[in-house]
Amino acid sequence: MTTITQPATLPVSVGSSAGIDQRLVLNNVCWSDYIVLGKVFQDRPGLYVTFDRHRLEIMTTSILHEKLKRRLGRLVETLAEEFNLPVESGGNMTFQRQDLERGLEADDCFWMQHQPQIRGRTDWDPDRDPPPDLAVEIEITRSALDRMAIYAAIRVPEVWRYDGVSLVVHLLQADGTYRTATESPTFPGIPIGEIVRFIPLADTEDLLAMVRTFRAWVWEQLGKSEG
Amino acid sequence: MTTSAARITAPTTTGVSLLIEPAQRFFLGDVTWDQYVAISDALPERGNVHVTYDNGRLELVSISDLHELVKYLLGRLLDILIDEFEMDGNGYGQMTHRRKDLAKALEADACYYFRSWMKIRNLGRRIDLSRDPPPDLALEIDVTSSSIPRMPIYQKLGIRELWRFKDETVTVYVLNRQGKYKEMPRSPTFPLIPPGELVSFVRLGIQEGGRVMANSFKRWVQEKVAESK
Repeated sequence: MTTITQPATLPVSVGSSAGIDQRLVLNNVCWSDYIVLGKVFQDRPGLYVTFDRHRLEIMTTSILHEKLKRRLGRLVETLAEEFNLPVESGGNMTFQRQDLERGLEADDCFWMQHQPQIRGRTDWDPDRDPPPDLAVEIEITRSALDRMAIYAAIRVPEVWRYDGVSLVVHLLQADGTYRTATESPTFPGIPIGEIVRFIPLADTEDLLAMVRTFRAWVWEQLGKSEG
Repeated sequence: MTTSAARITAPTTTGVSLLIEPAQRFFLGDVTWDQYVAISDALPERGNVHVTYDNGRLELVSISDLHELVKYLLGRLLDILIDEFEMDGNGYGQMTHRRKDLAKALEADACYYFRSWMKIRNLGRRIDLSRDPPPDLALEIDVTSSSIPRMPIYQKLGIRELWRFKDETVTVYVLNRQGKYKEMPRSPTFPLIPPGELVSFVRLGIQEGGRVMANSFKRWVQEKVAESK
């Protein structure tokens, strides 16, 4: 069994959004119990249930984790806007593959190239729907399970991992592993790692200032790449 | 083996730490009773996770190996006491105690019916604590700094006698007439046995194995019985 280091203090207020990171990993959980537990915990913000072949993790994320997720989501949507792409954001959507006994809730996820195929959907069915074109994985609170392997199993072609310092693009290869890249095939000409520089503007100024300044920078990058 | 002249004393194994830390702990607030039941039922049968629920607060604690070992050894000691003192009844292990009316629930580490055993013996259905008597004795191996106090829950469940293993000692609590736990120097169920000695035998069990511990404890108990006559 995995032993995870525990937070130094316990929450004094109720609710998982107390900003304290907690994690519990259980072994020998079967699929149907994962489904039940997932449903019970579903509507709690900041609480993630991840399942990997009999190991189940319940994890709460910090307020910072959630905030960075929202900020980065805005930047992705702004990029989609500037690239004139249709976009649907799935947020915390749950992705489950019973045949592979894996499931997770994304930090954030987007369909762009495949957006027309999931219009109007509120849940994801692996038999019916394409995987998201992009998943965003915030790693302020880190899972103990191998979430990248779960994304690979679901065949998400692109995952951006952000640990609060660096943002790295991961692209799914034919062999089912991810390799890192500095650019996204969805947004060519944009050095993706640099977009996180704009996130602090939401704190020093405001959210819209972050978006405006970012947008101007995107135009600059596109102007550059057009020569 | 001791000589016939010497009294059998409890072992004095030293150097074995019995401070138990939880392996993992998870706390949630605003949990409804139905959600608690769903969570409790969905957890793997022998997943070694205790679920404590008290009025919306839920805590999951996964039991460490040391906790399991202490539980096993204390259980063996209790079995010997039950045999030597000819207590009729049965143990129900980690039976889940649920009281929806009180919005409280937990699993004890072990629980036993003695005097109330006849009332639940031939129920032919699951024990329902809202109408059946609670166990007469429960064993609680206390995990340091649990976020939901469990003693008040045991109290409200009406479990008459609680043995709590905490900080390397065993303390016996008995419900008084006001329904509150009072610490007692002896268990009313096994009055000849000083509870403090149990820990020495647990330490012996950890060092030398359950069988050696059990044999040693049995002889010690038999001598206590002989002394009392």
